[in-house]
Amino acid sequence: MVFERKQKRRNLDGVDALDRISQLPEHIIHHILFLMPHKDAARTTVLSKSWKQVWNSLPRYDFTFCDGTYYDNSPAHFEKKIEKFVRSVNEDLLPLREHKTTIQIVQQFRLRMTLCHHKYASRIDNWIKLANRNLMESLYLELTSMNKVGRYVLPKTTFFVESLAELTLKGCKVLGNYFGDDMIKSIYLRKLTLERVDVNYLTITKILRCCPLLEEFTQSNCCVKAKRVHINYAPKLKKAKLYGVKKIKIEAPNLEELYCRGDPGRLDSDSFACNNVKKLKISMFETSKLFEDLNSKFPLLETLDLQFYDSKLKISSDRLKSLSLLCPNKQLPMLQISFSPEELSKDLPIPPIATVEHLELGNVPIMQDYTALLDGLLWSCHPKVLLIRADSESKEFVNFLSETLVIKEEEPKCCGDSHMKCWRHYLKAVKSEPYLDGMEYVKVCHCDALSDSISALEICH
Amino acid sequence: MALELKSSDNKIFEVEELVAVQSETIKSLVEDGCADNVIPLPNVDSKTLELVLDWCKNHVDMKLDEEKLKEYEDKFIEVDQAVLYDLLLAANYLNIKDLLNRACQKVADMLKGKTPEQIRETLNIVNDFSPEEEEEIRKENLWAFEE
Repeated sequence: MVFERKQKRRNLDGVDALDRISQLPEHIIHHILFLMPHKDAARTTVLSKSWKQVWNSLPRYDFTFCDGTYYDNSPAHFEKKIEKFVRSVNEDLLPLREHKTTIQIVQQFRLRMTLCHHKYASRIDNWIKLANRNLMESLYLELTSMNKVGRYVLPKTTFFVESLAELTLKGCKVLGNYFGDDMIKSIYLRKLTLERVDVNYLTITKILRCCPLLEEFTQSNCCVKAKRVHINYAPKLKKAKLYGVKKIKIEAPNLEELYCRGDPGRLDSDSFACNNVKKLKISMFETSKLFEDLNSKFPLLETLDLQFYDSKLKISSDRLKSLSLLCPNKQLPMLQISFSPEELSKDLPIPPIATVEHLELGNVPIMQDYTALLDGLLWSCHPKVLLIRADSESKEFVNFLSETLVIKEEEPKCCGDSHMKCWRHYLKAVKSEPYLDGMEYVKVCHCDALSDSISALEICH
Repeated sequence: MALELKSSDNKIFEVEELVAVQSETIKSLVEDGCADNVIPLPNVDSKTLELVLDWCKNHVDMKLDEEKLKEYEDKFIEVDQAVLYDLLLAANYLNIKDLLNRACQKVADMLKGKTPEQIRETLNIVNDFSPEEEEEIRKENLWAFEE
């Protein structure tokens, strides 16, 4: 090896101002980084392009281990398969144990395994600790315990691995005593998913309190005792999925997408303090008055997807672009869609604003006459796309639509001299297409110029 | 048994074999029987070679006295960046593990706890990133830049 000496430069003070250390061979800089705390080492990426390049050339690993065994009624045989799996994992992890002069980055560590005996829990502990010592960026654990074998308890230190940006836990257990009430240590997670994890909802609240960088959070069917979600600190949270809960209280000022599925549950005006939500999906919840004034609760809401339980549903919003409604019971509730809360109380129909461009209905029950329903829907909004799911119930409605939405005359005479005309006057073209998975897809096109007053119409059946 | 080592600037150093074979590179040469004549070391100048050989000699002499050795090492490594750089390259070329490790540790200690701006000043690094590029890089390892 020949090392070239650079021309020595001198700055104004006559002192040698050469950037030598950066010129060292890569493996020596790797050695230096290895001897620094991980945070300091990672910060060198921003020093200069050559230092970033040195960081990029660190050895990186992706590990995916899946035992793929299925229980065939023979415990001995099953355990043998698991032993074999454990041996192969140990072998694959050897490189992580070996190197002592360079940082190694574990970009992904994924493990899916069935625990047939509690002895395997400590094996898993060792694997995770090994990955923790190296720089681990993403951890995925899906662990099923067989009868009588307890759930796998995640080692406390894992949450505090500084480089860990993504954590997914399925079927494990998280202890509450990791996170004291006076917790000040930071967790640097950006994405956290907890599915079927045995954990107290208050512990989850505490975990989230330590995560200043969290952008995505999913909680699905955790907390066996109290199926609740309580999030009071989530400054960067953008996307949240909360499934299998009965009660929600979430405060997330930057949240943009929110998906909630109840167990079933109940929502009220206290449930949400998330002014920036653009996309909202709610199913299996009683919503009481939550949607009567979407403008104040969710002023930026553009997409709303509802599967509702209440018998009466009132929606009021002036920004909504896409609305999807699914009626799970065999009753179409009294539906009122308006674009300001004041108008909901009036009974006079007023011409609509067409901010809702996409309207989707499912499970439309069989009725004698759908005219009123159609009037109500198309008064409230002028969707460009009306999507009806062709389940067995909605078929009747679809047939009705195909007959009714045919343009018969140029100028319909239904509204006489009234300056407020019904939707029939605006209807330009209708196109009906069967959609891919058997959904009828009825396209309803309207003229563009519309008045800007608001409409409210109650539909009863 | 004495060996003769020649630096890049043609200075000859006579050393005990026991001292010289702390360099794995020289050790291999000895084992292969190539050490009978003067061993040329074109990548190490005399100033650096003198320091390296001092390290090796003291590691033989003080082998059994850990405390004394540590004191020596700490004093030895108090050098300016130019010398440190030369030591790193020499330790690498001559394959002297403990010297390489100690020198790397010295650099690591120099950089620990400093902000990127401070490190750039210490090492005379020129920042060739645009502000946008720098912002992107910070986002990639956000955890490292979060206080």
